[in-house]
Amino acid sequence: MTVATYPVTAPVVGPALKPRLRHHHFLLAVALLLAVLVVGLTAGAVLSRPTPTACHFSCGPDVGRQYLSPTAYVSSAFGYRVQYDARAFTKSNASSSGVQLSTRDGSGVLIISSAAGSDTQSLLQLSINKINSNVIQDVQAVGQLPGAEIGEVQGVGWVYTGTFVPPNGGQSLPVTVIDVAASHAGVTIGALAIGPQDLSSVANLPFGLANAQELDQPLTETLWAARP
Amino acid sequence: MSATADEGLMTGSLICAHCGQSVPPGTFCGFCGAHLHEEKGRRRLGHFAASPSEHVLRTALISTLFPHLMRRHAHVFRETFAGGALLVLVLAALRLYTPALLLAAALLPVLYLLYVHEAEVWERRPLSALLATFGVGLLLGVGYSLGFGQLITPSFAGTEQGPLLSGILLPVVAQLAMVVGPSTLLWRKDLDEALDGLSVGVMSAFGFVFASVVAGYWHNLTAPLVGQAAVSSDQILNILRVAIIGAVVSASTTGLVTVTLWLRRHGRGRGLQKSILLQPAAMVFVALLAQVGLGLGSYFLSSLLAVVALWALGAAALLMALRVVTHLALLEEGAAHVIAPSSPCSECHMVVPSMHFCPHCGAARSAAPKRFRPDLEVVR
Ligand SMILES: [Zn+2]
Ligand SMILES: [Zn+2]
Repeated sequence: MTVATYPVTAPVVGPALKPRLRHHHFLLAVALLLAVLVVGLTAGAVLSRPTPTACHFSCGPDVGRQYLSPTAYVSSAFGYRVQYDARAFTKSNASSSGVQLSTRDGSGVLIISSAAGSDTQSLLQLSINKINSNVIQDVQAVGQLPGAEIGEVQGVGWVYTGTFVPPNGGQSLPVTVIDVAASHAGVTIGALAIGPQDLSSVANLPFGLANAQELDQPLTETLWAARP
Repeated sequence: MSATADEGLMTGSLICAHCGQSVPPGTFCGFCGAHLHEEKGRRRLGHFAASPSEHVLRTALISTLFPHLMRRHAHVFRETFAGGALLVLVLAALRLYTPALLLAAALLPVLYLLYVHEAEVWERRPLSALLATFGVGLLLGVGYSLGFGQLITPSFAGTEQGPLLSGILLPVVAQLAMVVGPSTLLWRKDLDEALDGLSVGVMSAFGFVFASVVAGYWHNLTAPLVGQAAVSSDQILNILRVAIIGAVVSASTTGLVTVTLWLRRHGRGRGLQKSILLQPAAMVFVALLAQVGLGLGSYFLSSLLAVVALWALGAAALLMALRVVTHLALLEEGAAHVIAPSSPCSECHMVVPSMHFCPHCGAARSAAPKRFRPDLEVVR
C-alpha cells in the first residue's frame, strides 16, 4: 500500500479559470461558421436548381394506342376490368375490389380501389389516406385535376405533391400524387397514382408526374361492367 | 493519521475503503473517485465524473457529449444549441425550407468544432485529428448517401427492397463507416484517454450525418428558395429527426464504441470498475442493435409522428447509456498513484491536491479543459 502525505492546505477558492474564447467571441464564431455553411450551401443548391423546359405549342399528352390487353385485373365484386401492359407493370395486392400496379422499375405505382354507390369524394379521401406518411411526407394539395377520367367516364381528381423519404437514408425526392375517382351505374372506382416529380420534360407538364402517361394507360383502358 | 468527514479539511490522510489507498481527506477519493461517505460510493451514480453536480442517470446533451467543458461555461453551449434549434423553427415559419434544414444539420457539428477548440481536446496536431474524424466522416457520408441512394429505387407502396436492405444493411454500414475515421487514430500516443475516444467518435459521427443529410436531401434543397406553401409540421418533424435527433443517436452509438475501444487499446484501466459496459465487443453490439432497431422501426411504422417519437426515445436512451459508460471509464482509467502540487479544480474552483479526482467535488481531472490540467507525476 502506498502511503503518501499531503500538504496541509486550508480550503481556498482558487482563481476563476477563464474560458479560451470569451462569451461574445464564442457567439460570433458560432454565428460566422453557421452563416458560412448555411448561406454557402443554400447558394449552391439554388444555383444548381433544374430549370423546367418551356412549353410552346404542343404541350398535350401523346395519346397512346388503344389495345385490348391480354393482361387485366378483373374485380370480382364489381365486374370492372383494368387492362395493363404486363411488360410495364407488376400486379400485387389484388382483392375483390382493388389492385396495385407497380411499374417494373419500382418508380411508379397505381392503386385501384372501388366501392358501391356514387360517393366519389369519400373514395378520393380513402385513397389519399392510404399513403404511408413516413415514406411519403408532407403531402400537399396543388389543385384540382382537369379532365379526370376513368375508362371514358368523367370523374373528379386532385393533384398533390409530396416528398419521398427512404426510411433509412439515401436520397429523398419530390413526388407527384394524383388521386382520381369516377362513378358509373352504382359503382365508384378510385385510382391513386404516385411517381417521381420531374418538371424538366414537357411531356410531364403541368403536374410533373414523371411516368404520367405510363400510369394513365391502365385508367384509360379500364372497362366498366356496365359499358358507358 | 486523523480523518474527519468535514469537507475540505485538508489535514493528514485517510485510507479509502474502496481502493485501499491513502488519500487526502475530502468528500471523494482522489485516487479512485469513490464517494468516501456514501453507501454506494464506489460507483457514485449521484455524481457524474465529468460534472459532479449532475446525476449519471439522466439525459443531458451537453455534459455528456462535451464533457471537457467547465460547468460554468457549459451553459453557453446549452443556450446556443437551444437558440439554434429555435432559429430552425423560425426559418421554417418563414418558408425557408433549405436554410432551415441546413442550419439544423450544421448546428451540432459547428458547436463541436468550437468545443474541440475551446477545451483544446486534441492538444497536439488537432488538424490531423480533425481530418481523420470530421473529414473522413464527411467523405463517407456523401458516399453513403449517393452510393446507397442508387440502391433504393423509390418504391412508394413500401416493401420492394424489403426490410433487409433498408432496415438492417444500411444502418449497419452507416455505423461501421462512422468508426472508420476514429480507428485510424487509435494508435496515436497523444490521444490515449477514454475522453479522447469519445471526442473523435462524436466528431466523426457529426461529420457523417451532416454530409449524408445534405447529400441525401439535395433534391429538396434545390427547390425554389421561398416555398409556395408554409413548411408543414411534417417537414419540420422530419428536419428535426434526420438532422438533430439522428446526429445525437449516431454520436452516442459511435461514442459507446470508441470510448470502450480507447480504454482497451491504451491499457489505462486499473481494474477498479468491472462491468460488461466497458467491453468494446459489448458496445459494438449495443450500437449495431440500436441502429438496426431504429432502422426496422422506421421501416415498419407508417406514421411519421411515431417514427420521430421512436427516434427521440432512442436518442435519450443512448445518450444516457453513453453517459454511464463514460462515467465508468473515467472511474476506471488512470495510471499508478499520482500526485502533484495543489492546483485549482476547474469544476469547483477549490485549490486541491492534484490527483485523478478532485477530493472536494469528485470531478475527474482528466475531464477538465486540457490546459487547466495539472501535470500528474507517478509516485511509485
Ligand atoms: Zn479510493
Ligand atoms: Zn473540484
